Amino acid sequence: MDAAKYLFNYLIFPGFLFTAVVGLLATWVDRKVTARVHWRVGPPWYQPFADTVKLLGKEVIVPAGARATGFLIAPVVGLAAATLASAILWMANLYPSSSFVGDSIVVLYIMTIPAISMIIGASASGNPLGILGAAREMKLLFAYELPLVIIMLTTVVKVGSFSFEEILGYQSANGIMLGSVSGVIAFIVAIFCAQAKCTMIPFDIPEAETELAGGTHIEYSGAPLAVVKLNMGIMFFVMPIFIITMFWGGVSFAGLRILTTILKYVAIITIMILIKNTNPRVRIDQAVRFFWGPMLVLSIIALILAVLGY
Amino acid sequence: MNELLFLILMPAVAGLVPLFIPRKGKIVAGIVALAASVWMLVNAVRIFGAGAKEYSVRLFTIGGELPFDFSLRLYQFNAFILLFIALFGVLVIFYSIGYMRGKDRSSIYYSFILWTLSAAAGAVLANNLLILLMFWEVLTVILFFLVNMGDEGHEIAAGKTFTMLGFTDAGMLLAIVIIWVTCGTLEISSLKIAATGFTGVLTFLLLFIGAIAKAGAMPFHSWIPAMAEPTPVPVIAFLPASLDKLLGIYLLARISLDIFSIRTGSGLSLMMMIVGAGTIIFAVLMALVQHNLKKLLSFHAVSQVGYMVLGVGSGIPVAIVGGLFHMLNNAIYKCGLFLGAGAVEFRTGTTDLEELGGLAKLMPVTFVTMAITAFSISGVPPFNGFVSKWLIYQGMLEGPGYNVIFLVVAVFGSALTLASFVKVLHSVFLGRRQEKFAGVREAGFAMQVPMIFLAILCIVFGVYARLPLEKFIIPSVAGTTGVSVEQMAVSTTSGYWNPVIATVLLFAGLVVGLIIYAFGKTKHVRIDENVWVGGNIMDNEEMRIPGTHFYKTVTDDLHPAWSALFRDGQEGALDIYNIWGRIGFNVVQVLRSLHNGILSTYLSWAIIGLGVLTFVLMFAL
Repeated sequence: MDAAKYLFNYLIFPGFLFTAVVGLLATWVDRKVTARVHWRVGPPWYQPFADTVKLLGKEVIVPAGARATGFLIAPVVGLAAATLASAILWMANLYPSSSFVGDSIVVLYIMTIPAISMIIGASASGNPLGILGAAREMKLLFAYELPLVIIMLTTVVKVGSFSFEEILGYQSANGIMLGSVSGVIAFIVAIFCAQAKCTMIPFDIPEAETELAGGTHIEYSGAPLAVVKLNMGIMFFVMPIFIITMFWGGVSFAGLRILTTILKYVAIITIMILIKNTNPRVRIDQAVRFFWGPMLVLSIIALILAVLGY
Repeated sequence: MNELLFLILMPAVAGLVPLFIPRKGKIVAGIVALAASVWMLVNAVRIFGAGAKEYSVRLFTIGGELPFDFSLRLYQFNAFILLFIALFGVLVIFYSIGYMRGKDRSSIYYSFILWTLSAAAGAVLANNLLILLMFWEVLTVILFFLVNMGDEGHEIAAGKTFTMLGFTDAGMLLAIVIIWVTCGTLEISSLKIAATGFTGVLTFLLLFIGAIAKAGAMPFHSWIPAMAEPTPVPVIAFLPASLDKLLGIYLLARISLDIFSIRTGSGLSLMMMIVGAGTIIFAVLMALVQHNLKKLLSFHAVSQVGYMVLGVGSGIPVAIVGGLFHMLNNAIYKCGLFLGAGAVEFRTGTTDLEELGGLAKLMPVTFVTMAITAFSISGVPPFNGFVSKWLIYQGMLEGPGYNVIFLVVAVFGSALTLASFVKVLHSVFLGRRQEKFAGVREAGFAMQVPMIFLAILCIVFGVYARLPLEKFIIPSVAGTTGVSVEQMAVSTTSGYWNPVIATVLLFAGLVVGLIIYAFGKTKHVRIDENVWVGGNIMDNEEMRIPGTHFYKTVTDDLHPAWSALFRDGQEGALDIYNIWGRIGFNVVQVLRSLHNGILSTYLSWAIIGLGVLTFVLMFAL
């Protein structure tokens, strides 16, 4: 019985199906808002779904020099991990009793797997531009991971626990993290980290459409490309939810809170989309310097304030 | 014969057999060694469940007051260490049979391995500090010989290894003498020393340095990277990667938990945690810039010790459990990584990351096992490295506020480890292959089996983490920290995430992905001839990008001071061996300048000496 419940939670709600649908819808929001910023009309809401179906109908091409198995399996591993991260995060929010000690660390770790799988896939493709993208993706990963860990700890230090249940409980009892100085600073840093995690401009350095022609994605086509796009959609959904859980009181489907949940999520992705549309892409060394410089300083200030109780 | 004594003597005696086997028949020597190590493993398993045992013979009594015993003691903690020492012995000897086949090395190699097993068993079982040091010293000497069996450059590496370990062992001897004088006994199980005052702290520091030099923590780490290149791979996989970790951290745990009872928040605890955190971060940064697979792995062998020292040094029960579990996990995956590197070297003749590439298809078993062990060391769930790191993170939250800094360092070190292994997987197995490696085959059966076994162990200890924690680690720690086994089990494993379910779900996710593929047109995958780059179709051979410069942006371009750190690290400025070498050289220079070969100078020195002597004899006495 338990197994069936877990599988349902993982595959249907709040796991794969729910996450994938919302993730794809979120990419539509991204495209629509971007289009409006560009003074274009933008696609209809079902466009990402149509794209996915279209890609499934396309031929799959594997370069001759590629390690084919690794190349094809990598996006699937990323999908499995992104879904797992989403499922754990949502379950902890909706049914706090399903939370376990240290699940925030587990989610933090699992959220790196989609990026790693992209790196492995690009590396296996054998395309030099893909490999350049992979190297950049890795550098970007450890650049933003440092401030991300520190700001995560600002919440953890205040709550005194790594578990989502206690983090959410603390926030409902003592007010959201965003209500404190350290919380606000941490939130700002978190948005930039999310931007990098979703490889959105100005941190789309691994994909760099103009110079690397897609970078890590360059050799993907057909169904694997559909899965890659799906992963990006899911991460665009999971990462903001992670931020909401850590700093903004979490999400809920109970009564009116469903509205606030949607508003919180839309607010965060709107900020991210606006950053995306108003900035040029930076170089990888600039990105590393940005995350290990100003962002690190900000996150350390947030951590110190959090330890002091502000 | 006594069972404990048997475990020490049997491999030692069996080690004499290969001496009489000529070089040509070294496979026979290998089989003899394998049989002896399997026998040792069987015995270790048998006495593991049999409970505590002691064995003691009075050797002599000094002045009728200070008894000196050859005493051995087996209890929970060293029983499981012994078990794994024997296990690694079996695996490495099995691997060596395959590895040594193509090499021109005599069968005395197997004698050394067996004697190492014997001495390691002795060091773990010893209940007398001096006996422990004696076996410890035997290990150092054998390691010197083993390194000397290596390729070009082995003399320098062996000398460096012997010097560093020899000096720290001498420090331990000094500590033991101090203990003998102040406490009147050397029996480890009854020693209780307060780590206060000058002598207390000095004694602790000397023993601590001995332990971490063996395990390879900074700043006493540099013998491991130095020996990594020339030494035969099974030796690195056996000693610095697994056995020395088990022994070094075992001793560290014994001294800091049992003998000195270092408390959370004390200065010495803080010192140990700083050593641990510093080791994690500096060693992994050095690993990022390495161009040689074996050297890169050796820096990780150093970096991982940091987690153990951090965990054990914190004095927090959960973190200690994490630290000791990490010791075990590290021995498993690091041994697997080195064995994989050995398989690559065996088939391609190089471990240079610039040369290698694209071996995944040709050596699939090596690739998969190395990928699993690489993800384990990077702490990717659901493998074993994640569990032990997770326990250490948990523990860091319980201590004083400054522990948050160590927490950040530990988590970030883990991200850099991952980066470094992404580079390894790319440069060795993915990426593009050079034409000359087209004929490379998978490593032989004897080399594959230990690698597969260790990779499976990585998964089992990650997914069923309760098993090793409840069987091995918690019973060992519970006694010394004053927390009961049950309490400890609750605080470390209850509410712990369920890796079994997570793994099943991950597989379910893989199935979902494959179903999506099935919906697509994946039946006819078109294998295209060449890659498409910048609007041109490029020849595959030209398009080889080795991973050695993956992180050049990060290591060179960020800040001059930052890149200077890497340069210095590469050239050995952070190497305590070189620093002392320079100091020693300068002292010798001063002495040399006195020896200028002029008779009158020597005469005047002699007369001055005579004068001083006369003065002392006449007035001072």
